Amino acid sequence: MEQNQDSVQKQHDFMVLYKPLHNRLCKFVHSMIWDKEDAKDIVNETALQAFERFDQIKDKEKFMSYVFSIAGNLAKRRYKLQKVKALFDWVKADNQEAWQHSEQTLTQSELRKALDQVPFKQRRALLLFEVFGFSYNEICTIENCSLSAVKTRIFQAKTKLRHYLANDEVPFGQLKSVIV
Amino acid sequence: MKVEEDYLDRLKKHVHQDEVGIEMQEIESYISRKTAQSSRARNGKYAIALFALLLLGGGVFLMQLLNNPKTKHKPSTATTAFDQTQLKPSISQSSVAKSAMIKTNHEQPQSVVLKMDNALIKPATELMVDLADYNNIASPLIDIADYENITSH
Repeated sequence: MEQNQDSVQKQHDFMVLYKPLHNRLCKFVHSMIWDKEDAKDIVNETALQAFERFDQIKDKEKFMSYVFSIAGNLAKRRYKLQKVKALFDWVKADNQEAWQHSEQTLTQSELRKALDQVPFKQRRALLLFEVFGFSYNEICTIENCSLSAVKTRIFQAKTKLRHYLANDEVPFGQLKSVIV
Repeated sequence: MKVEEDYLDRLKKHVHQDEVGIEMQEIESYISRKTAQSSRARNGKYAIALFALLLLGGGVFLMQLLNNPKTKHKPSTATTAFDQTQLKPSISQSSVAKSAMIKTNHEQPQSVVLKMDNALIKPATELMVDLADYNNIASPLIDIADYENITSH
């Protein structure tokens, strides 16, 4: 009985800390793997893993970094899986062409195409900094690396993006007109 | 504006506009469900471990019971089995073997000694020596009562 009450209390404490991060976490995961079902799985799994180790987190202020770190790692694993799966998924590729006419899908696929040129670690750091507004120090904690490593990753990611967008067969100006 | 900054602005806008559609309630129910599942699995593991431990304990207890010298079944020894009134206490295995050798005129009395080893656990009246392998003996069995005759040779 007491154990059950402890579990309920633990879940309540966890949810208090998790709730403000939920939206950002969902968008972060989705922007890395671009698949809503996969994103849903990863967010669920992240929440569960964080909950199971919630007692081990001594400094609750680092909870956010901890959760994003788990999500980043899970997303990386799923992304690799997606890449392997894509090699054999001929049917999906055919279907994609059929519904690619909508503006939003085109925007997403173009954005994704550019982002896919960047290695996963650099992409993760870039998204955390540019899109989700984390500070360098927070990214250090999430990525578990030094400040200089984070800065380097972001710089390299931007360089690769610039190189791709400048040399892309479809000029980014045309893409811009589609997006706008 | 650099091209990559323009791209990142649009990416930011797109990401923040796009709804992933995962509700908080889903997360809560998922955690509750998984926690209950893992709790049940843990209890199941404990039950299996306890059962295995009981089996092991029972096995060890039985082994100890079987090996305990107080409870272990022992065959009766030669001194208790032999009827001292019918047999001469001076007869030893070697003398019997020697006698058998004399009687059968055979050079290998070891098997006779072995048979005697087995025979020692039997009561004296039933004690028989199997000498079927010895060609010179007409009857394959010699009654222990004939020991005196054998030794007299």
